[in-house]
Amino acid sequence: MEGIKMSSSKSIMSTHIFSTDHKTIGKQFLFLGIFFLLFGGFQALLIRWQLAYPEQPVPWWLLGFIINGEAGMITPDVYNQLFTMHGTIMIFWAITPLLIGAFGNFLIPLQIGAKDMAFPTLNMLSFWTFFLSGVVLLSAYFLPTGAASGGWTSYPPLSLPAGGIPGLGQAFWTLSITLMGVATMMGAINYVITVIRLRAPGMTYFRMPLSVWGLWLTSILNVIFVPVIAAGLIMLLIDQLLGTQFFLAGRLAAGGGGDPLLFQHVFWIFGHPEVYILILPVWGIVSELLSVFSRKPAFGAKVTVICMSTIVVLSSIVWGHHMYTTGMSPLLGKTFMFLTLLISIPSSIFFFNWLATLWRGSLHFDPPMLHTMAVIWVFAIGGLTGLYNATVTADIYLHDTMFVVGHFHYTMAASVLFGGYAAIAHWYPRMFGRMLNPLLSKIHFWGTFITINLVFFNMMVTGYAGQHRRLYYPGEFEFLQPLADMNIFITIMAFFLGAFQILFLYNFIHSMLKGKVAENNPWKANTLEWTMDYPIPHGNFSTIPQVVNGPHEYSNPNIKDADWVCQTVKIEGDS
Amino acid sequence: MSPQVQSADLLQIECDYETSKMGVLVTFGGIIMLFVTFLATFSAMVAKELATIKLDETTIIVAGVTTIILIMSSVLFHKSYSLWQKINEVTISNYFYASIIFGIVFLFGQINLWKMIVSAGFTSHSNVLAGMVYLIGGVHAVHLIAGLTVLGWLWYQLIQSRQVKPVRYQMIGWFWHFLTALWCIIFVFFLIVL
Ligand code: HEM
Ligand SMILES: [Cu+2]
Repeated sequence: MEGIKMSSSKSIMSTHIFSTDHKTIGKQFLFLGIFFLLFGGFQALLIRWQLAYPEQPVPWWLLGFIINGEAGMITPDVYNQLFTMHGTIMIFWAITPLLIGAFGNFLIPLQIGAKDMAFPTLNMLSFWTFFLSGVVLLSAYFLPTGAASGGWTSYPPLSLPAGGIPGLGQAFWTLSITLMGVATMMGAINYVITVIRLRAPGMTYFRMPLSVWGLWLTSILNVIFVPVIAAGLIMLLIDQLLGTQFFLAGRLAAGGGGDPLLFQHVFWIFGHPEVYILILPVWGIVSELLSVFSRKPAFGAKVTVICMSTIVVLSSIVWGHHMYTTGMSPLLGKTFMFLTLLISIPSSIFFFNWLATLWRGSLHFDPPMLHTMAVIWVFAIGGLTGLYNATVTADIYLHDTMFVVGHFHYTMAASVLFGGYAAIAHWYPRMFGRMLNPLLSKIHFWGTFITINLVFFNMMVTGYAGQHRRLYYPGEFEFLQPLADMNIFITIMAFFLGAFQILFLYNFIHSMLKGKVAENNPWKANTLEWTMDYPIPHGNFSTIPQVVNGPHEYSNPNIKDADWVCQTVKIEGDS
Repeated sequence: MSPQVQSADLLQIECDYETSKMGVLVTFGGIIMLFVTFLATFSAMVAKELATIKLDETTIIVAGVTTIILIMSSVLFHKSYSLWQKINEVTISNYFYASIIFGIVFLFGQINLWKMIVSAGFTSHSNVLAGMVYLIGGVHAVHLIAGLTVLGWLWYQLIQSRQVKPVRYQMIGWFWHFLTALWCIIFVFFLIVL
């Protein structure tokens, strides 16, 4: 009796908590990512409240009672903490687990025909290290001086006690990101090797679905560049805790002193690849879903892969475009500008491949497709505004304005959000065996699409009009006072945007319990993850499949009565 | 049985060895990037003339000797591995113990070295280059301690006469050699730059 109890409780521990099954770990990342997404989103609303209604206490429906400043008002300190923690959480604890953690784990083994990741235990440790890093991050809220407030970039000297911010908040920030980096490395090593070693027979690199390509390239970037920021963070941490002066200079440095700009370099050598780390999975997922929902082969799939790989290489030599205003030599500035603009060539090529996939396709506007097409729109705007930022002359004006904030929310927030929602809507049936409610999904989609554009486009407008980012009270400056109405409008739209995400959350949870039971392959997709019955057992495939087709062979004229064919089924008449 | 099915089976059997090797190599790649960043930052500090550091001859000689000790440790580990393979992968050799001892001696040598540099007046607070030397040495030492922990684990398995997978022994060796090589590169780098 005792023994049976023991083993059943042990099995819950090993199947649900410390599971080594990549699908379970993927879901754990998904839930954690959604939690942080909501938390970060809530902080964004508080930031917007301050920008629109600077002298009014936060209302109860924004949980004003937890702001313990003067009578529920957001103080400058709290404001700094809000935008710092918002950016940090969204980038490292929301997008990263949602795309890389959840879908990297869930999709890679299933789509390449592997039984699991190459190192399942390492995979489990990766999640729990990640979890621990989140705990460290959030526990900073309980410090007497509060959480970090030096911005998500945490530039010294501001982020050092000698340079501005007292207390341990910054050190907690640095430590938590270092831990998060360790977790990311564990995952990335796993993904890279799983793809190299565990592809099913016949699954050549170019027969891998484009989603796997995106996730794989992301992991390669992670393996190379996460250690770079780790080095910078270790230096920053001992500056913060032990009083070394690697990043202090001038009057702030007691002894010899170092150079704060060094941190900016290290940060952006990692930071620019990081933004591609975040977007590459989305590019892969979009390339794949466009093909599924247009019932056409992904146009120029190989070219798309080559372009994405080129961008991976180029992304490592453009970091200087974040530092045009640091007084770098004009020659260096122009070089970085040239290299940055070079990226737009491969970007536009695969972008046109997306459009060509749609061209004369038989478009099915199911929720995953709606979100996918939204990525095309928001990424177009984000990419194009990047060109303005990349141009030195324009950027000297635009740098550190809301224009940059608009740019990276289009490229990063909006693109990744829609990419993530597309992925959730598409693979939900495989993850939970049920369908999301399509009507709620569509309402959520349209609500999000309209409001997100009104929010981020208008941010660019205010930035172009001169409003700096991270300002506590823009109305203090006379030349920004005419923007007050615009800021109020953005804030109201942001509230609607937030409300629509509650609808998503409801749909996500409710469908898990009561949604329509899904068939095995509801979207009639070719890839391997749709070939087995739900629930997919640990080990995925009873026999390793033999792959004979590419992943996106839709509407092949040699197939008579269907417009799709599983990657394992030989097409008669094809060579 | 068709040839394809065979190759699928082969994949499952083979992957353990090849996959572990590759995992270790990619991990090395990550560690290399960590140190490349440190060394690049160090070079930038030298280029910007943020500080200078001049080491006397004894310090350099001591550093050379500790480096040789680490290389010895690595060589001894390799000997222990070859011997282990020859004698049917069960017993433990004196080479193994010697390798661990040399590793520990190196760590103490490092601490001693730091003390010498500090007493020459280069503290981590007054001189960023010295700070970097301590940092880089320290981060390397942390890896060495991790390596020693793994060696301890291996030692425990061997004295318990447990079956140790050859790939494990070999990979632990790779890690140990890697840390040695890494230190040699760092040492030569310091010699050239300072
Ligand atoms: C498509 C071509 C792109 C170009 C040419 C480009 C260019 C730039 C430039 C020059 C800046 C610096 C602006 C400034 O601070 O003054 C910038 C900022 C930024 N970009 Fe992009 N970008 C592109 C795509 C992306 C993508 C795909 C992402 C993310 C997925 C992204 C995320 C960011 C972020 C996060 C920042 C601001 C970081 C900060 O200062 O807090 N960008 N971009
Ligand atoms: Cu960039």
